[in-house]
Amino acid sequence: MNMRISKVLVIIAVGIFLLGIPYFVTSPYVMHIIIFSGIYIIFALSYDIVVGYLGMLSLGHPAFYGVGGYTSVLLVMKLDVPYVIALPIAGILALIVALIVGFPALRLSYHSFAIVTLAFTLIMRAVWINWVSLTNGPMGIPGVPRPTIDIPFLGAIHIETLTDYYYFILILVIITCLFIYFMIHSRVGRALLSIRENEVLAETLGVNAFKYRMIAFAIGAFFAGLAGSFTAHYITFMGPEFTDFYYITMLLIMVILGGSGTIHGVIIGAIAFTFIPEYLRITPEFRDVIYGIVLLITIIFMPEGIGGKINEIIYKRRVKTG
Amino acid sequence: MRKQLTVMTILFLFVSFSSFVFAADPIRIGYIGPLTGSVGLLGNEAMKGATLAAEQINAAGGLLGRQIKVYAADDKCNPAESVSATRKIITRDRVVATIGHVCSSATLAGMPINKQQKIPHVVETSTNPMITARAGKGGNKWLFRPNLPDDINAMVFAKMIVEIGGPKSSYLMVNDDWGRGVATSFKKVMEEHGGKVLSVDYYDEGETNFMSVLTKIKGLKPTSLFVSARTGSGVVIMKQFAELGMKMPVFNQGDMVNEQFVKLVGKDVAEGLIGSESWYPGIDRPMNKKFEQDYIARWGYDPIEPSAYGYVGVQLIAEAIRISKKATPAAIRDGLEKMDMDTISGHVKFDEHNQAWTWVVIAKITDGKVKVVKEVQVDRPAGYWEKWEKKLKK
Amino acid sequence: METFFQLLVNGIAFGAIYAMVAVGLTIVFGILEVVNFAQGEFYMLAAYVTFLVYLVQIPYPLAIAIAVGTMVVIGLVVERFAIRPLIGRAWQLPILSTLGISIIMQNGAIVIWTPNPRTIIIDIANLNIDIFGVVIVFQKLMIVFFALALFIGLHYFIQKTKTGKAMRAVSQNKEACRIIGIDVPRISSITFALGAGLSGFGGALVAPVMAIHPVMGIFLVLKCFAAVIMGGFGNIKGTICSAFILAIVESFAVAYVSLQYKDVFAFLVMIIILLFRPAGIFGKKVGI
Repeated sequence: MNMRISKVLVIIAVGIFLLGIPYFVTSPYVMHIIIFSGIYIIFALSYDIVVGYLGMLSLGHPAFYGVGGYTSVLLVMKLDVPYVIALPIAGILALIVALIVGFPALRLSYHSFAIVTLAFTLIMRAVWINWVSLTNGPMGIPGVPRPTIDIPFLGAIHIETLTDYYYFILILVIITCLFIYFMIHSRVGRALLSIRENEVLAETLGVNAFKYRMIAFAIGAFFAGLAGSFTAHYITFMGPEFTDFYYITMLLIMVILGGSGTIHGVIIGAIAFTFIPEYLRITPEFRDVIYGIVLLITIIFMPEGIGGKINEIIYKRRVKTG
Repeated sequence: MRKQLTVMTILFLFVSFSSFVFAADPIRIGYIGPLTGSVGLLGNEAMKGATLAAEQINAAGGLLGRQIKVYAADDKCNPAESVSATRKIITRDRVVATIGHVCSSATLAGMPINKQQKIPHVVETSTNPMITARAGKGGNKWLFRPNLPDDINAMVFAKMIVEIGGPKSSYLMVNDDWGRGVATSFKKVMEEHGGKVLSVDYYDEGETNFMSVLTKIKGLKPTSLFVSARTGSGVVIMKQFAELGMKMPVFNQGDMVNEQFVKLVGKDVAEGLIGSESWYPGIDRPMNKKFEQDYIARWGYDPIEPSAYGYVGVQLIAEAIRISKKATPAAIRDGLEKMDMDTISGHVKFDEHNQAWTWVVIAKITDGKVKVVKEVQVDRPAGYWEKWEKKLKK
Repeated sequence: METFFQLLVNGIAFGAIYAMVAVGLTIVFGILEVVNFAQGEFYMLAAYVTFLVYLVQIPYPLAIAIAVGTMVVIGLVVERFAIRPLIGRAWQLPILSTLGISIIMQNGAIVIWTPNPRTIIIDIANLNIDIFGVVIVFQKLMIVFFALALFIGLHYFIQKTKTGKAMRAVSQNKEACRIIGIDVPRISSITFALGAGLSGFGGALVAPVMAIHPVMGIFLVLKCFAAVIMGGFGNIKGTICSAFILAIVESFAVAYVSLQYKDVFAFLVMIIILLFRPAGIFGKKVGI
């Protein structure tokens, strides 16, 4: 009982803190980084579904981010679709693309999968750069409108200031976290874990590994698509740079150091690695060298990541206290 | 792990506080540009030019009795990073004006932040016409551009390619906003002057195999080759061009007409390359000669084009401060509007779209040295902005 | 017709470069089951070492030897500290660790040598040989020649020598090898060093005909991945053939279709082949 009350109190405190952020953060720059942390939380959590829960190394995630961004930007700008509709469509299109790519790719060996998804990212990039009549090619699409959310009977909400964007991304982050939390505690999540731990055993118990892989891969893509759409309408620019390979390194560090397969770990990783590079006052090449070293050290000495370590500590304490 | 986290937290707090504690007197100017990645060289060179300009102003007693200091932020040639970098340099370094951006996509993404935060920005390298079409009258009043857009450069240089290089040309362009923009505007002008473009090929930055495309071009037998390339790809293109025994004249938009490039590909291969820019080493004016000497004295090697543009960028901001006698963002913006100044890359005076109409400089590599062929002062063609305003409305 | 043969020659020359790097990848995969993302970085570093050594007036053939030697040593160090501790743990860890090494090497190269390209100018290497209008430079002829010589040597090494036989055994079954007393860690070191050396040899050979810059490896290695997958992971002959096929297809596709989709062709060929033969054209041989 006591436990439950303290849990509720913690949630309320965290809730008040999150809602209050725009009131005590006065610097627009810090606010901007906080918003980007939100984007990266969604992006990294969706990546973790594939890397952490599915246990497959996908290098195709930035492509889904790009699919989401381009879809909603083109829908809003060329077809005047309201943003509230364009946002979910962006996610759904990324999901459909993931199903098309996953259908052949998820049947391959683990290693081939990694490289085929990498090839997919490069192919998508080439398409966006060269299909100039649709995407405006490498020139990108400037002047992407800021989102307007129409609510029936209440009028439209224009998302313009950093505070507006903050609350918007906060809602998206909460939706993503809840969705992933309930997914991994559902039948799908248990099936995924059983496949990750022992595919042969899972198959003999009647789990259709391929089906669940497709589900997980597609859901990951869906949320990446949402993150991409939000980013494009926040930056108010969309271009093929959104699929830079640099994002893969970032995501891997966030997920692996944060702790693949843990929600809180990945959130910590995403926030830490959005803030640290902004505040690290060293030349950027050195920064990337340091990223590499951090990744390497984590993999060799702490492959379970921060989230895994926290789980371990909690588990040990529970065992101790009985 | 806990220890690591503590260290990170301390570092984080230290860094965020240090920027407040050491807030002091200098006038702060921000350089935003690619400092890493495939075009990182250009941003770093521009930053060196900007630093040199600041040091010279400081050595001469500073501005309004204050020193100036240039801060740098990396836009990685990426629109999302450009927004972060712009916000970072405005908020954290509290700059009163910014200069920079090499890639047009980074400029276009960063522009709205300058407008929102009311900080003037001088774009000294990006050449996409869209940028100033969106600036000034009826648009972003905080953005100024001292160098010429692609399509204007094309009016001079593309005509020259037809005149010197003959009527049939093949294009080999880098596949980015700049390369594509150059291709479109040059093709139009060349066709107006009776030239014919036999092929246009786009390559991705980092490509190492141009053999096949050059073989194809060789088979088409054009009278000239037009290449838009920065140093890295330019080296590979010219090496493989020589490898295939091709001999037609090569025209370049980018960074191939300089002495660093001659050293990289060898004298024989680079001989005869012709390029156009707003600045080249060897323009015969005292101001330019002094800049080249000072640059070599400060950094130990020859300046390239972005070095000069970065230098000009800081000089313009400084001049704007002198004009309005105040170092606030709004005063600098007003000062830029009143600008009327000779720089090493031409005479700068901004029109209603905050675009300056300077010159196009044509240079040729002769005996392994860059020789300026001529400088062509450009006037704004009639109906130029009307055309772009119409395009923007669409 | 001239154009056709010229394109074929271009394709073969690049195929030899792809093949050298790809064979290194495939051997490492076949024996250690590690996809080595740092393979392209060995190629890049070797080119830099060649450049530095050549700068101090050491003759080019010796420079090649020094570059290859350096890569072998770096390969040994990387294997010992970043690969071996991870063998037998989750399969993605060694891949991620090579990715980390690739990031370190690539950005380290930018820190040390800046992103500016470097070149080596050797007159004889750039000597044009013209056969009925089809041109090839001397150095590219050398690349093809050395690549073929190297593959033949490698074949004998793996088939005939004791170490080679042990490598084949390890690729079949590590446990069994341990039981019969094969020094598995030693084989793993040798394999990784061999992979690094092959890649380094490629880098040293192309140094006089290419621009040397920090990202030269990453673009190459992506194509090599395609060749390795097409050839069937760990299948040396398959990988060599695929590398040549890819390069020749690319060469013609660029000239007759489009340069801007160049990378897409290679990957599309790879994906189409995987759709029909998930284990590659030449089938997956677990051994090498």
